[in-house]
Amino acid sequence: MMNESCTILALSDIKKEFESPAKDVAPLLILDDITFSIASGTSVAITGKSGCGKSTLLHIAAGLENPTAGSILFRGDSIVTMNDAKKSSLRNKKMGFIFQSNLLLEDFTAIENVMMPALIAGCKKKEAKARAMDLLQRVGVADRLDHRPEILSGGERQRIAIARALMNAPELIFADEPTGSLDEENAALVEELLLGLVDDERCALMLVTHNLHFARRCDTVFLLRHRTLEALT
Amino acid sequence: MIAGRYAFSRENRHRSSSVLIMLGICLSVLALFLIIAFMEASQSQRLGAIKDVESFHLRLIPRGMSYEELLETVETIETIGGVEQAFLFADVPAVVKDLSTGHSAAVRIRGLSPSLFHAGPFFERLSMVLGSTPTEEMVAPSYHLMRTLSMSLGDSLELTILKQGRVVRMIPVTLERTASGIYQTGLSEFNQQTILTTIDGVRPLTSDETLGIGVFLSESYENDQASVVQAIEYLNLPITIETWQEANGSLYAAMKLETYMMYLVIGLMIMILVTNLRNSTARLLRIKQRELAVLRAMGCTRSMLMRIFILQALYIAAIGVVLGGLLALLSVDRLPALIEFADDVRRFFNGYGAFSGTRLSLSINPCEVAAVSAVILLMAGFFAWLGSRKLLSKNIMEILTHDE
Repeated sequence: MMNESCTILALSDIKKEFESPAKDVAPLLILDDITFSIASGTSVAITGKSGCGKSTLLHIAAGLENPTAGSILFRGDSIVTMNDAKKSSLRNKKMGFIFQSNLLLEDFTAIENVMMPALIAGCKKKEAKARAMDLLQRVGVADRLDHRPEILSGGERQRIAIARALMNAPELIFADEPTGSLDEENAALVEELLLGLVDDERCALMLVTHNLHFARRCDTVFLLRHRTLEALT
Repeated sequence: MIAGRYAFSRENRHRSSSVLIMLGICLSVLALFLIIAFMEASQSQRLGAIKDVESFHLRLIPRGMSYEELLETVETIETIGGVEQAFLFADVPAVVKDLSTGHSAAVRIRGLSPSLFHAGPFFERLSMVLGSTPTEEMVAPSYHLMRTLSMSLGDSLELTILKQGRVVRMIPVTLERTASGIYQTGLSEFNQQTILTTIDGVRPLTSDETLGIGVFLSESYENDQASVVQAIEYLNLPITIETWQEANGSLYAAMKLETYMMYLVIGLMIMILVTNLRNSTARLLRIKQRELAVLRAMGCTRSMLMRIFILQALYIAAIGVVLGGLLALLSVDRLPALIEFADDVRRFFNGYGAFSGTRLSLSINPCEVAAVSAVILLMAGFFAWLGSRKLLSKNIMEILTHDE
């Protein structure tokens, strides 16, 4: 049993159904009775077949999507019942996101993308820039500061997304297939970088991946099958 | 920062959309202001020509007064406050024949006090295309009549009228006059039928009973004719008073209708502009919805994002409005000179100008500019608010998944 005081995120009895557009068809059940928690400084990986609901589970855990039933507690506060301002502040200050398609803001340069979470939080531009430059240096794209995402490679974009996720020193990082669209070499690089930075920054990681090798390097691995989680380690 | 980047920044991938929307607003504002300026100037020019040239501000029709009594009445009326100029005039139907070419036409001879040919509203609206204003023994036909009669300056014109006789009821009277000049005014109906001469030049052709008194009011009294009419009535003279609106009742009504139609057309133009604005704003939001979802995921609140998109729409609309307004001001300032230049070129080749006598004084009313600008900015902000509100009600992942 995990120490309660160390628990950052706790999901219990999560259920997710998607309404069918057709009237007579029953809702599609994606997740059922999902219960797990993440402690600070630990990493949790969730694997499973494509379409089994891994990404949906990650979005629900991050408060990007609401569950049909169940509760999600972040440091004891329910995310589901939070108002928009509080939920936004939580996402901004305590969470970091890395998506498969990295989702960088195409109209902004690499450094501006990394600075963005800090600017949203109300941080001074100068301070944000210094921290962003430091992070970009650590992820190895310091020479791409003023480049726009469209001219960067997939690996570079993903490294910038990692730097952006770490910008506000979050307590928990959500990574949705961070190596899914990368070649082997870049995938290995991103894998090393993400796990190394999570260690350095002392934050927790919730990872969704197909990559079993990557998943096994995490502290806990779950397999999502038949709508529920099975612990692999 | 984000609103500015999403509006016109070079880093914005959809900058061309912003520029196109801004240009659309700019051209609409330009068209709107120019139409308003042109229509108002054209109406005011026509109304001005009618009251200054055709009817005068007031017309007094005397009943059974001698020439001396009429002169005395003119002097008395000129002392009334608000009266700028009072004068005798006569409109006499006649047939004119150019003795050199043999061509003839039915006309109206208008005799006026000589002072009117040197100063005042009538003189200001009279454009002498050729020669000079008429003296007692001379007449000035319009450019239109000059062409009808195929006449030249200095030709002898035979004027024939029917005068009341002693033995028979009407007898023809003929006089010969020389054309001293050719004029043009902004009123084509007036030009088509009128030959100008002095009151003394027309008196031999008619009885003094057909003479009338014209009155021009000073500028501040033009909209307060009633007080002057009342002061004249107070003199208790045997005269009937007619204002220029009464003398041109049907035309005045038609122009009023034209004004209402003008505002209807402008209203429709604003509606078209607003519809375009709505579609443009929706497009701006649609192309940025992925960014909107990413920003939401990074912790932007709904109200922050609404502010960004409203500000972006306001930037674009404000620049469009300012540019359109400036272009309209520039056009209004330069167009009369351009029209005059085109007229000079035409005059050089044809001997006369197409717009002589038509002096459009274009201007843009600051209140109208403020009202139109406020409507456009309000609508841009409103549609941005409405669109972003609708978009923000969607789930973040729903936007991201559909956009991918």
